[in-house]
Amino acid sequence: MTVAPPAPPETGVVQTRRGGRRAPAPAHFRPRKIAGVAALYGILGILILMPVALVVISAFTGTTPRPGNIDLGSLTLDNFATVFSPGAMRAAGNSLLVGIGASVVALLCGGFLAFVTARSNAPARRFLYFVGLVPMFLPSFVGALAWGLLGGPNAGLLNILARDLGLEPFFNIYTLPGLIGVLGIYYAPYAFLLIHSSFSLMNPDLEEAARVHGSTPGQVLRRVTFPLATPAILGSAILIFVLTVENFPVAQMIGSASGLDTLPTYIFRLMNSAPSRGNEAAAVAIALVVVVLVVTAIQRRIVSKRTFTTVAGKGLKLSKVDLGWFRIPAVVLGVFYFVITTVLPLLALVFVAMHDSPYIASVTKSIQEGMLNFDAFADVLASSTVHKSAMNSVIVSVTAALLGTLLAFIVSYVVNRTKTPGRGGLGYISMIPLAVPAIVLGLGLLWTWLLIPVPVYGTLIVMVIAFLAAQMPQGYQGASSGILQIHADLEDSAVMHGASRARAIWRVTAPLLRIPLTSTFLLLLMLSMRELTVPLFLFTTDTRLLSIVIFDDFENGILQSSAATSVLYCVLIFLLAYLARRFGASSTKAV
Amino acid sequence: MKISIENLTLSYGDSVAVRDLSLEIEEGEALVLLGQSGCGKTSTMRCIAGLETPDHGTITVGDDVLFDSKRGVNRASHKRNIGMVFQSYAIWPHMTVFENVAFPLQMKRVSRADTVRRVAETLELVGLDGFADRGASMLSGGQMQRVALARSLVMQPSVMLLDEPLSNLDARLRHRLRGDLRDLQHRLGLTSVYVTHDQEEALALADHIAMMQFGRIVQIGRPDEIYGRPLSASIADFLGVANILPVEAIDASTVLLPGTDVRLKVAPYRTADQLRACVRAEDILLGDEVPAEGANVVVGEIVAREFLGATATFRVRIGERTELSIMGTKLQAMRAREGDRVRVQLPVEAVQVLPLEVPAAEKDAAVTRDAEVAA
Repeated sequence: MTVAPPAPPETGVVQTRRGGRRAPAPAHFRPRKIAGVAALYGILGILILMPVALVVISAFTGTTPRPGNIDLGSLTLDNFATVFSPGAMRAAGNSLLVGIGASVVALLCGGFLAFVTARSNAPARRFLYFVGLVPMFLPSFVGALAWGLLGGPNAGLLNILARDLGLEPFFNIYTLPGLIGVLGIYYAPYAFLLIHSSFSLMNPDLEEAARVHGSTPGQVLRRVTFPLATPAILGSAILIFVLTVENFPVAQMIGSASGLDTLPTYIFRLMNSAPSRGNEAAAVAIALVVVVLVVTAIQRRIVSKRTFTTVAGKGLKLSKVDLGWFRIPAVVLGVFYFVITTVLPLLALVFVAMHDSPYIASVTKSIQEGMLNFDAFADVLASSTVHKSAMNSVIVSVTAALLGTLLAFIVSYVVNRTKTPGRGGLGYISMIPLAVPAIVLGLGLLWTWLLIPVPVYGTLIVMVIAFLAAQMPQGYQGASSGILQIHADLEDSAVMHGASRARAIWRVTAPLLRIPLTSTFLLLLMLSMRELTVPLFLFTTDTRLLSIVIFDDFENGILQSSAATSVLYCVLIFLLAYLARRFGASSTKAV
Repeated sequence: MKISIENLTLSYGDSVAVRDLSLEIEEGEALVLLGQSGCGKTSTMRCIAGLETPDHGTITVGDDVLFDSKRGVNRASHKRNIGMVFQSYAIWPHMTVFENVAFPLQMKRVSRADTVRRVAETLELVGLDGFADRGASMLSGGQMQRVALARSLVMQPSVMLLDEPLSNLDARLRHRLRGDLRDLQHRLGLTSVYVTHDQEEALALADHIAMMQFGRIVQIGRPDEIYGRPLSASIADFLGVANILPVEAIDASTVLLPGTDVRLKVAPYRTADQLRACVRAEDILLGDEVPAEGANVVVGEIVAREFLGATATFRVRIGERTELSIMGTKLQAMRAREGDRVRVQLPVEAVQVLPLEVPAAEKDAAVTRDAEVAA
């Protein structure tokens, strides 16, 4: 180097004396941030906390919240007498049986398919993977509707077909086992997905080590593979238990015909009785929330204790288990599952929708004599109710998904990227709806928007609000995982290079999050399209959604129209699912 | 431009990241903040950048007050005109190299023609001419570092901050880019602040090094001063001094190695509670190198040797619990055997007797240790 280094200047006045008492952070640096967080607390408070609080308050008082009136004076425990009434106890017992039974059915179906597709040498594994996934895209209440058409004791298509063939009617879906079966097969995809990923991400070294130390292939499965998958198996069992216990529409459509009540349908009946018994419904709702919370807490304990770090990244060669003679039966079982979850129900919906009269005497004769036509579809397509409700569904779902994604992004940005005091609570509040059964949340939302003196009740706005609240957890998780994948430096760097914080988010963070935010949007759109329970207490004749029209028609016995509408509804949902998968799939390539 | 920091304090909740730190950096000077992870060096840098809001203190660049807690001044980061190279480089993957580098100019609303010209000049300066249209996600680590550098240089920053700028690169590239960086900094006369935990990097890049421990600066000086005369044994340890032996004072120029009867003649030292004799492995003489007569000659037993190619290290036991780490030659390594008894000499001028901690750091260290014990 030619340039002589400059003479060392006097640097470094090192002060070692401790500064006096440290002043608290000057208030004038923070007010805007704090105001922002306070506003978010306000929004989430009204969306989520207030409905929950009103259910709790109603459970302990004598009157339900009415416009501009909330009763806090007359605290009472009387409502809880209902919880211990014979009807409620029976409903609770049924809920328990349904939850356990459906979890077992779902685990057997999902676990079996997961093992066969992930770790066996059965043929057609790609097809079986598809089979395991498809029921996820069929809303469970459409499945229930279809099975109602198939398995009714007298007019069920399966029984009619049996009579055609000279057999006795053999099937009745309107029973407790029927309810368990329908819930079980439609919730099996959750077990399938969780267990499949556990099986396919296992570190092959662990199994190979067992082989090296003298285990037979069977012993490896028993001693290593399945124990390693336990967290996924237990986790999905509890998830399915919670989801099926709080499921309302299937329980209502299958159970109500034979007087089978579960806790959600019991709450619904209390609300719909005349006069409405809202306070007792709230008390039962609290019992239901407690059940869900207890089970979720157990799950957290189990999962946190037993996180085996088996994930070794994809692309590792896992050995395939030789099924031997069972290879073909395994595929047959998979096909059977496909038939009962997807093929038969869709056929039944199409058949009923196309039959020229609502009354079906013989399946074979109807087909032979050409009694099938598209009139019902034409009617449905021409029906102003369907038009209107389809429009409503689309408007509400798109708006809710857009606003939901935006709100979720803002909340998860504040939680994950800022250091504003009190931000953590926002994350917890966002996750609350996960632990609140849809029917209970719907109840709370009804009372909230009756009480708040803003005239939104009876409009589509209240529907959007309800969906925003119900889907906050999914939106928050989606946005957070996206934000966490992007290094904070990328945005800080834009700020250092002259962009304001808002501009840095707009120019750097938002474009980088385009794909995760798009898939969050599509997920919320999907969930909104499928949702039936949350808006159940909020709709009016003018604001019915497609899902509600299908449900109402079924409840009122207008099966043909209900079936035709469901077919269109399914087409719409499959289309959305396809879009979601396309965008989801491309997310792995970019960034 | 000159940077002055006075009484800077930053805390996250209960933990204090930077304690009452004062520092001046002259115009055109390269200062390296050196220390272990968690010592507050990155926090100090982020305070200068405005990415953290200190609790207390002032930060001035040139005549511009950027932060003053008493007067309520807190200039937003994007108005500070400070360049920063992030440890991860933070190259925006959705933009091309040109778009990355042009970003600061777009923010300043520089005309299109000027932007194109200045970006081209800057890319040439960092040796990336011809890369303008390359997608940023297609770059190698070294290229990313250059883009990050260009992106900050193009805005003609008053001050440049570099957070571990070389830690993400492999050893050979690190060596080359270190030289380039130093050269560029001199050529442009940029006032620069580096953060690093790598002493070699610090010695090579710095005009001055500020050693940080427990959120404060414990020693500041030219690289040769810091290397040659650390103020405490823990600084010496961080700077790679291999032998740090607890000793007891006997008189102003003699100490005793406890557990042995070895008395070492040393340069005059200041006494303190916990004294350590610090000797670099390469300063100790071994075997034939030791003169027949001399101070500080002891006899020990070779317990281990490690052949490293050009050199070799030996562990020599000179007392029941006292071993020395000594750097020798490959020849010695070939001749010596474990169990051999050898003479070693610790030359008087090579032995520095230092307090364990710099007095100010002592209390902080005790607090941190207590906290760790409690946790």
